[in-house]
Amino acid sequence: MNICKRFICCVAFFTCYATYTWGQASSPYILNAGSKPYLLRSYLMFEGKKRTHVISVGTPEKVNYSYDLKQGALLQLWRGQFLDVTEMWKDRGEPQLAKPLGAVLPLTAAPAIAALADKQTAWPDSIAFDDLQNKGYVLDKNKMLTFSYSSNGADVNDKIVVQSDGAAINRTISVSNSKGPLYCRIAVGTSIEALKNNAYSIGNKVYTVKLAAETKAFIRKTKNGEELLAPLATGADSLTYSLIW
Amino acid sequence: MKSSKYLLSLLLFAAGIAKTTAQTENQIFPIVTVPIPKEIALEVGGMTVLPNDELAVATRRGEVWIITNPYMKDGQQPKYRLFAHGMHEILGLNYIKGDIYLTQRAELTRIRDLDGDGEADEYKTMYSWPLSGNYHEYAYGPMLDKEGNMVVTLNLGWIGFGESMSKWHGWMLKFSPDFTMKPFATGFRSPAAFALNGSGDIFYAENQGDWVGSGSITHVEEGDFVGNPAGLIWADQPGSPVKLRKKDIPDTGEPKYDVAKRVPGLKTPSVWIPHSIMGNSTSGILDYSDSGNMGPFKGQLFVGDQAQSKISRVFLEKVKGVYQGAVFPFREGFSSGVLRMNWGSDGSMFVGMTSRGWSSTGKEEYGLQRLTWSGIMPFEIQTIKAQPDGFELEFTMPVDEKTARNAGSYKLSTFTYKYHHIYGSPVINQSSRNLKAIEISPDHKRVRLVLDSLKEGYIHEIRTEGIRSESGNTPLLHNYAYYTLNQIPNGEKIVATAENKPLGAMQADNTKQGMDHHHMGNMTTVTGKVTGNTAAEKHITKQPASWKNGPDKTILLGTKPGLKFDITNLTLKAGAKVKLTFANTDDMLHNFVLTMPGSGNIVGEMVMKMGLDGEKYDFVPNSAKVLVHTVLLQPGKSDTVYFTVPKTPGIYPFICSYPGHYTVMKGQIKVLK
Repeated sequence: MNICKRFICCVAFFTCYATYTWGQASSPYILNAGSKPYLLRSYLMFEGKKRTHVISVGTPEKVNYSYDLKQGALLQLWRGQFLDVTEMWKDRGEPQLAKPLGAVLPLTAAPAIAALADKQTAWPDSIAFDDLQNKGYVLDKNKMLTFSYSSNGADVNDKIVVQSDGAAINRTISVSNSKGPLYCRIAVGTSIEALKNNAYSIGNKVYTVKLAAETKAFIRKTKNGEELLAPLATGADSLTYSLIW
Repeated sequence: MKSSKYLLSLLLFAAGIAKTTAQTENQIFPIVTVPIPKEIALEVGGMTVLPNDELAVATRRGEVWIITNPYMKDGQQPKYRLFAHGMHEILGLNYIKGDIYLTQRAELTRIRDLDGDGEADEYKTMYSWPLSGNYHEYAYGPMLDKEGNMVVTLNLGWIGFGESMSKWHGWMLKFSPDFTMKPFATGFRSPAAFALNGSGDIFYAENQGDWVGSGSITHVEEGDFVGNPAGLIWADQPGSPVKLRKKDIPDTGEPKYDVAKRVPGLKTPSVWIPHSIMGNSTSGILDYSDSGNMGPFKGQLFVGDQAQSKISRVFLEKVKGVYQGAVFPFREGFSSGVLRMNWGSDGSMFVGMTSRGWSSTGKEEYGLQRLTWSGIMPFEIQTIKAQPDGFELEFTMPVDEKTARNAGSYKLSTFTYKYHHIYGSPVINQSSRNLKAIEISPDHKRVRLVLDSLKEGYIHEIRTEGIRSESGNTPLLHNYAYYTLNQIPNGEKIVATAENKPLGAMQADNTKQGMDHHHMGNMTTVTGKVTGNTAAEKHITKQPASWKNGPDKTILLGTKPGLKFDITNLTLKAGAKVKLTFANTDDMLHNFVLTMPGSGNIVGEMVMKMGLDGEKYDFVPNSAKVLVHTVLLQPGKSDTVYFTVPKTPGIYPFICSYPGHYTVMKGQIKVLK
């Protein structure tokens, strides 16, 4: 994608600090990150349902993801071109959907954090609109995002960083002010296999998650497969994992 | 288009046809275009002026640009820098208490640059509302009210009609300084703009649509229901101050004012902005406060129109505790669809524009211009105030007594619209009013018109074409206005005497003469009034008996979003028998009009001169250039017509002749031998 660098703008027009502008491509509605990540809020189809509070992030490494701000859910990952926004930016923008360009790795639409009555309680499919207060996101100096929300009585920060080589993303979920024990669902798949060094193969090697050494995760059966959970202690706690695919 | 008219008027002067020196909008209120770098699609959704004299502009593509030196001082070009991006169709931006706030589809957001590198790095969600995923669920604001709350409005979704598909769409919401949300009022359809007047009261702009006969601005108070019942679905929710329920709202097509008399809580517009004449899609509102420098209209409101690329002027007064007033033409000829207006630090007006998806008279896809005042005093009606027996017109300069005393200088009529679930409304109950007396103030700046009767709740059309200024014999820059008479004031009436008896006679048949040259700027040359014609021979809806073998060709024509026919090129054989069905699947009113070769634009322009009669005739002018037409179709409706293709080969344009649509919603039939 043609990223208009600062100096091009200066030469062609006037002193213009357009960092993310895009020039004449095959379609003006193909979005890609320039030297910094490109963020885009949109509607998004996922698992056959139109999601309305979604942000997608495309990086210079061409590693892209979508995140549901009202579920705290990392929806999907993909590599390559970022988004086709024709249905948002052409004419009236109907049906206002952003479309990932490339084969996505679907993860889950379910919330990452839940309070479970016991270890047998099924993971919730979703959290009600009023039960999760999304608070937005902050960009670090590399323009990587930390999402903030509160749910289940706790404040949650969810930081997603694309590794500089683009091989993986690192996700750090931190809770604070939690009134009771919470769980984080790290992965869900048809099957989950524990590997060495606190790593797990998800869905018959569709992707791998690698947990920090101190994180104590466990696999449990679900109706359709298996899921990988880790407890988060009352008060403040955090966990980090890498998602490699 | 506009410039050619000004050119025309210049030519007329040169030819000695014009007797007087007419003022022009160009001369008095020059427009300056702020250049936009080619790579930036500045589809303006929101604007705000920053304290360091920069202008922040939010776009429908979700960006916030900061523009340094938008005034192009010292001949320097403005500089654009991207401050934030990636938000979902921003349609409101405001600098409040040291921070930039905006609305995107899903939320009210605050953006901050925490590390001081010139780019936002904190996107804080101050309040998030649900969405169904409909494209028509827009959000506007925030604006600070006089108590320090932020005000936001949420648009209805569109599913063939306006619907509140998720909570608080169709509502105005208020947020306290700690961002506690309070539902404030409902009944909104497409509340794209709102502003405070000088007294701190909230006025919002509405667009024609279902339950909305015409655009308007309305004073909004807590608990109001302003007309579209869709939002009432949430009226029983905790915190709602709205007492009405959907079942309380009759769908009779009576005037809204009449319905409101027996449905307490239904609010009627403060000022109707008559559709297709004063605008098609009411947009931004800007209070003429001390921040502005736009001529002698301080305290009035400027109201933008997206489709007609222009700005009107509204004078408001309170009579018996109710706002009402007059809308006047002010300035047309902007480059794209006017959506947002803000005062610049020099008192000029920034005008931010977008036309994507909705056509506008100004042909650019987007634009940023600055409206300035040359300092020349425009000769205008400054205010119109209701009187117990008529109106008092106040002029910006003394009027010539002879023309002001002459009944022939005026044309007056009254009309209103239907209030119903149907999209838009024809002008109804139109009748002309006569003058009983005219009194002129000693300074010749005020003219009191005594009418034969006033019609409470009606729009009063006041045309003053014959008025000239005392000095220079100049015609008015704009010579018509529409006063919405919600209340007739009490007070002393003027007794008709020999002294105040109008001279001459009013022009007969006001209704037929109305609005014939509102597009001619200030020119006094009367152009022919275009009448309508929906006679059956151009709209044959039954297969002619002579078509023994049925039609030779059956065409199904539809619409595409963004004012388009789904078929734009057809090839037909001369003399072929055609059955054409036009199905309107769009969210606006459309028709199909087949014209003579080279006449698409001519017919489209004729429609603009049909005035208040337009909708009554489905916007089909009485012209030989019109060959075939459908009726004006509500969203979701279709019409089938039968016609024989002309015998002469050529290119026959077809258009949607709804005012302003013809420039983009068009196609052609190539007729072969």
